[in-house]
Amino acid sequence: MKHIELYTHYVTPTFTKLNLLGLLHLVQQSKVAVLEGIKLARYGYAVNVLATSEDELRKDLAETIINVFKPVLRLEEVAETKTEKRKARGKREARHVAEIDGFSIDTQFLYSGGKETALFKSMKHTSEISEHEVEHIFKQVVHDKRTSRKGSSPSLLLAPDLGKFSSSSIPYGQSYPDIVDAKEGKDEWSVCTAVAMLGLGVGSFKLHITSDRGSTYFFAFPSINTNAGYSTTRILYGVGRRLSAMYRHIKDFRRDERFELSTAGILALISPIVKDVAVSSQVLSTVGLNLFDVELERKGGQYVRQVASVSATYATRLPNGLTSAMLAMLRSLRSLVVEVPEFFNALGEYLLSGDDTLYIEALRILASVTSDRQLSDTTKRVAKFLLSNAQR
Amino acid sequence: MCPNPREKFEELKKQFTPSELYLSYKTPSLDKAEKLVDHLYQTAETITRLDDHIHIASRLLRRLEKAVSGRDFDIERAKRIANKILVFVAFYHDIGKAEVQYQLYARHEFEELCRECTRTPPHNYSSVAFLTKVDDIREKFIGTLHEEGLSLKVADLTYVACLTAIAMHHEYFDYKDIAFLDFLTPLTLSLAKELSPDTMLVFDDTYIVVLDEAVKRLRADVPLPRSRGSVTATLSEVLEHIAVIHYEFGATLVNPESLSLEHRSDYVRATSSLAEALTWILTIADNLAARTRGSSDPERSFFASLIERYYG
Repeated sequence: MKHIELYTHYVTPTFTKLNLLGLLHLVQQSKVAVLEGIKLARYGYAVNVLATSEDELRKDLAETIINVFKPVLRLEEVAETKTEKRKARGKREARHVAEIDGFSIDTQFLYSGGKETALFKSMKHTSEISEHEVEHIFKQVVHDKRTSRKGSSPSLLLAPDLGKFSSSSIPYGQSYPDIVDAKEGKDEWSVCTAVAMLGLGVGSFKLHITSDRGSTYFFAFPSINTNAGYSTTRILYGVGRRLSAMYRHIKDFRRDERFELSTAGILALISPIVKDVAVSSQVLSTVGLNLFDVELERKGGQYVRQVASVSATYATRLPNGLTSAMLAMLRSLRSLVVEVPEFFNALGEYLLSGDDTLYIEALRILASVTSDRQLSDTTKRVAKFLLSNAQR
Repeated sequence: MCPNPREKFEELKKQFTPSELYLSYKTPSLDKAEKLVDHLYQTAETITRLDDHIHIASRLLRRLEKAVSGRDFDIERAKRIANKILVFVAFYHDIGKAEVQYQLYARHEFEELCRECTRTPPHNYSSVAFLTKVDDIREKFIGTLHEEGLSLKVADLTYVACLTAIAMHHEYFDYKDIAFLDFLTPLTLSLAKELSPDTMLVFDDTYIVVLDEAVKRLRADVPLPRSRGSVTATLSEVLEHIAVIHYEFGATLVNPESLSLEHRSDYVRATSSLAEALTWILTIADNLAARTRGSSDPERSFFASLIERYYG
């Protein structure tokens, strides 16, 4: 038996947290590694595992990476219109779409500056990763080598963004962190990037909302800020898995054309999920919740990115009783979303403003549902159940 | 929240010796009531006599080992290990009953103490609280199984399967509580169980006497906690663990469209089968062991009588 440490690589704080969730998933799926806990290691984390030997673990992790990515990853190179296609061929670069666990990340939207191909290649390389290449996660690497010296760009420590590639409009000029773990000819890829994307795929809640003006990505995932033993680590991983499972339930809501939710309404729809984890992170003060909102505005065919770290304040306004009731009825909630979107819109406005009369207004809408003959029984049942748990 | 169940418990501690104090269920006739130490011993003893079931558990264990490490091992050894695992599950399944509020409930003191509280924390959840709080038990458990010949990962998965069995062993009884939940999270669990997440769970340090005595009578090698102090946990913390247990092999694998389970790897399938088998074997042993409890009808559970009919 041997105690072995696996490391997350440091690029940005957010990247490292996603990297950790991905690593935990690999350990969980591994046929050799037994989880022991997490230790803080300089800028990142070390995952402590127990295994028979390092060689065996390395071999197994390579296999695990191949097996884990295969079913959840879908990669596609697309050229949208004819002219784009021609342009793309001219530049010998197409738009890359990566889908992880059913969540589609358009690499061009999220990452810019040519780094999107490295992201794409990193994920692509997981299908043929070798024992030797896995070596990278046994070592601690700091990719972001920039300092806060005068004249150079600040460290990405300050940038609450989604990953090491994601620096399109942040004021760091062209100084991207050196992301590459390994270089083979023209192929730049890194294991840690792929693992972080895995973390995003299997350990986070994510929602992609598109509109005419652009689109919004919403992300929520747990992280940890101290050393943690077996039990807490399991909870950290469990919270991430729960968030990703919730996403699978709620993502279809978005596909529905009949949707009439306002932005506030969408907020109301996802707030029970945020609230649920916020409560968990209060309980286990070591587990934190990260919320991000990425706005992509379309400006003359180009996407302009804005990243915002969202606070959970609005969600904490949702009473515990209503939170649990909404989650308990998650599957049937859909009919309420379709038939009574006003409820969510009003509730969302209450969450944003904290104005109690709006909460009462939302409940009044619910109450009127129960006597409306045109609405389905499911909607009525859900409305009744929510009402009976709405007291604060 | 109740005023202070501990105070009341301290009073009880003065009246009884620890092994006399801890009861295993709520009964009208307090003096004839079965003691917790007897029930733990009885269940662990009963489970070793369920030969057919041990056989099934050992086959599932071999299947799991095969799926994880590709190794085969002989049936006799598998049976020996399965026996150990089952004794562990049986030994700890009701340790949650040593929790202070359950003991007050068993002695009809709980309702007196707090008229608003209608429910005590479910004892199966308290058992999980105990095992996750005292986590050197896990280390010893995994160590022992590894020495016996299981690979490390299988030992680890087996521990999770045991925890699942302990969490679920009383859930079949309370299943109606959580059946309506679309989504299991700590918040929805506390809604279903009608309990405030702030509820404190307290194990007084006298619980160790119960464990020591049961082990002595059992003459088996069961991992005991290293530290012997009292154990406390909040219910919300425990609900986190329960939620994780539900997600470990179940909820994250549910396909929301078809509402069916999609198991991606053979070892996950093997572990969840093992967890299921352990749950059921524990349920049988638990109910067979509880046969000796009281003779009047209202004291006997519906399940106990059914199980006795088929397995008795």
